[in-house]
Amino acid sequence: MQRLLFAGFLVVLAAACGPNPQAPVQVMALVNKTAKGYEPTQVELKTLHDVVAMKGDVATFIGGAHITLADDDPAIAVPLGDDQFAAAIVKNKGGDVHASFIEKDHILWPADFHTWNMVTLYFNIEKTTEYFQANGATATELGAIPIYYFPEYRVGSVISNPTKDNAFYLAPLHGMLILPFDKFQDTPLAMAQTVISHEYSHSVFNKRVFQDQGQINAYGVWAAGGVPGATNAMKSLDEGLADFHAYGASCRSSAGCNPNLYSKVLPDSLASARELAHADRCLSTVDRQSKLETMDSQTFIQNGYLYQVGTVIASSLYQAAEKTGQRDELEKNILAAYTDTTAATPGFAEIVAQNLNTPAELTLEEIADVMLSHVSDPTLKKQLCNELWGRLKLNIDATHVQHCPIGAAPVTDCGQVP
Amino acid sequence: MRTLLASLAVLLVLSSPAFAQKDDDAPIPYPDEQNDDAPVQRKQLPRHSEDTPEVREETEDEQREREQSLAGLDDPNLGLAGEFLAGLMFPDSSRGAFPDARFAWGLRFTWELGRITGNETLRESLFGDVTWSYATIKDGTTAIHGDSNLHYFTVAPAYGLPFGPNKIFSLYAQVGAGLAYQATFITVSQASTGVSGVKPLFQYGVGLRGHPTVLQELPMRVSFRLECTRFRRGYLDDTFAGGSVGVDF
Repeated sequence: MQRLLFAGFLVVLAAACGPNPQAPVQVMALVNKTAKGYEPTQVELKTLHDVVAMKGDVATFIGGAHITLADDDPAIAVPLGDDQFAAAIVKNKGGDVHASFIEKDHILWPADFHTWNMVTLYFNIEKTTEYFQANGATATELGAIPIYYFPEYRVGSVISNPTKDNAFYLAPLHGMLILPFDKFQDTPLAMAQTVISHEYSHSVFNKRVFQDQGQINAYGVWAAGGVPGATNAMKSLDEGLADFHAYGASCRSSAGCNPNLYSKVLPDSLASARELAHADRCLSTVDRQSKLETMDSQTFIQNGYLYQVGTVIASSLYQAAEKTGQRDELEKNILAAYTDTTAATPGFAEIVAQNLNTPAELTLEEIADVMLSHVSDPTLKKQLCNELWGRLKLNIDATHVQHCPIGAAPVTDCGQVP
Repeated sequence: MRTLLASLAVLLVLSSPAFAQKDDDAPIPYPDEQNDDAPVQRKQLPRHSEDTPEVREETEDEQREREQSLAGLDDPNLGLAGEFLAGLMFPDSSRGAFPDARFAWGLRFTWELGRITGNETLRESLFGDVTWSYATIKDGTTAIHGDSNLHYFTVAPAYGLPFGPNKIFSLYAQVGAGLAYQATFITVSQASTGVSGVKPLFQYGVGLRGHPTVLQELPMRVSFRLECTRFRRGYLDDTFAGGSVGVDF
């Protein structure tokens, strides 16, 4: 009788411990399958080591955190170093998530909605890291991105209501925040592969272009100098490249290439404005001058103009890739352009450093030239120049965009956009 | 001469009591004191009293009757109760935040199992529950959402410290075990996929129990409970705060 009780105790003790399968983990996730939409699908997570706490080589989840990024927060009223600033804005560090599973035939089935959400999110991140590694990034460089899952996030004021319906990369925390949904009742942002790939791309941009700074020194210097154009241009570039990488990652998914990145994810009015395939994605001269080059950065960002300019950049890359059939090549070239210490072909990081004290010279032309200087295929280079020239209204001459090949000509899709 | 004889006679008369004793030191007997030599006119007693009787061993029936507690003679109740329970379940939050409160309800059957021991203290303190409780977790967007149905089945003994008039209240502590059955569905654009499973359940908690008499002439009482109970559901921890009310027979 005693042995029976002890054996029963051991069984209960074993079952009281969470599942701990070795990677690769066989698990169910919600995968977008184009016409059918999202379906429960068995996937293999190659890098996940702790399925309950959702910690792996590419991401580590944090639940229950409280983060406040407020102008009236006395904790950040004085200049702070990156680590101190990060500690000051995290009011509650949170803790491990507790994914809940039911094991069936050695496959882990999420037992509630948030576990479905987190597993699918991890799957999307894993696929995105595979995209970047296929284009030249290393696993060491990418590391494990912290995912703040459904945190309480306040912005603007310490007494503001928590923000909802968003997912974004926050440089001070070097991590991604997936906020609770409220009005967004379509596909949860965490499940949308294009959203996750877009946000993850910001972490890669921050690592390579800004050396993974928590508080971007260049933006601070340029703001103090009262020259917003460089900040506006770099932020627009960041958004544009994130959209282009999100598109590239979608081409590797089971749903296939999706230029309508945020369809059924964001409200139609927002999603349609970000679609890459529209032929007339162009920046007007008026918008370039009044918004990009002269509008103060805070207003530029708050009004979402960085997405407007970013979509034009992304669309230029999309059109060049699809018209030449060299999307894979362009993805590699663009990622290589993030940082390049070669004097003749500086990367984005290098032109930021070069123009730290001359922000007026960091223009769309400078940015376009960096891209073109890292494209080796002549056909692709010419088409890319055509797209950027026509859509961004570039000023290309002997001294600007020198890597635009002879014979290039601006696309005429923007004929209706002055 | 005559005077001398008279004197001698007087002296002899006066000394007659002395002549009556054989021995001057012999005690003067009490009137009811028997004299061995005196003639006995009483019933004949045996020469020897009976031997001290041996104390025989108790029979088993006599032992049982001696040990039988009389505590229940004035308690007409059987010690069985049925209750409907309701409250808030705080299922372990998979997103690592403070658990959301979910309405939970169920049924409970209680047996005052201390009654079978015959011990008055255990009779009042020891009881056991068989409980089923149910809670649901719903979350997600309109397009994609999940529904989880949690069923908790437990058997749990408890020990209480009675107090109050007629000891109708008790503060108790309880541990138990059982099984949790979970059926979960994920719905994508109205197409649902379900999976279910069973996990071991360990229960522990404290509470206040009461069974006041409502009507003296009826052999039943109202039974109620206020409790805080934790469940270890596999590797997850759920907390229930609520109460129950029912009838005690």
